[in-house]
Amino acid sequence: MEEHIIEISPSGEVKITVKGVKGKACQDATRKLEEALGQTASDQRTQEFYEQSLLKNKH
Amino acid sequence: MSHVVTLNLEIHDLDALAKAAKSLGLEFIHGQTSYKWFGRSVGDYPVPQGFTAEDLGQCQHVLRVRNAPQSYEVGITARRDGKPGYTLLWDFWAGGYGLQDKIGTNGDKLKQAYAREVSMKHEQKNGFRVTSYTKADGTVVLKASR
Repeated sequence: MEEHIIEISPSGEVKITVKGVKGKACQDATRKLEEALGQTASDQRTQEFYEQSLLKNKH
Repeated sequence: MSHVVTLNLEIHDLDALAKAAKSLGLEFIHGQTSYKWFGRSVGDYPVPQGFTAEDLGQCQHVLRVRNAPQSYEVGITARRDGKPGYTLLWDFWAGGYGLQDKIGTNGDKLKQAYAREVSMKHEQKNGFRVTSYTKADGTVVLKASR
């Protein structure tokens, strides 16, 4: 299941966490939402982002 | 999780802004070209990038506090820094005579409500089921899943 957790602070700062989407597809998953909301200040990839790439390399 | 993004909010969607404003007790007045403020700049605060003191008071639309004729208003005008979207202008002297109670210091309440409206609209349009709650620290959390 794909899940987006959008946290909006009392000062209007937005943080989006994507779960359940591996690899580069996770960036595509929220690109349109990010553009609709504003300008990206930071983008942190987590382990799940790299899992698809590692599996490809392993084989 | 795979990806965590933080964003600086920008105003692009006037429909979402109107809904956000309504949730805070303001109304969106389409096409009103001046907003209520002190009437002249005293030069104590900088104007937004691309604007001059002579531009203050002018706008393309307005947010007005409902049932509060004494309150100052928020002017909505196109950005002038070369980027798409809108700038919000308002006079916060004396809390804008009730305006700041509605939109928050620095417009924070309005920004939060706007971000919520944009996010809900986008996620639902893309087939996500969305739930929402507010944390004790005032952070609004939307969980969208499919």
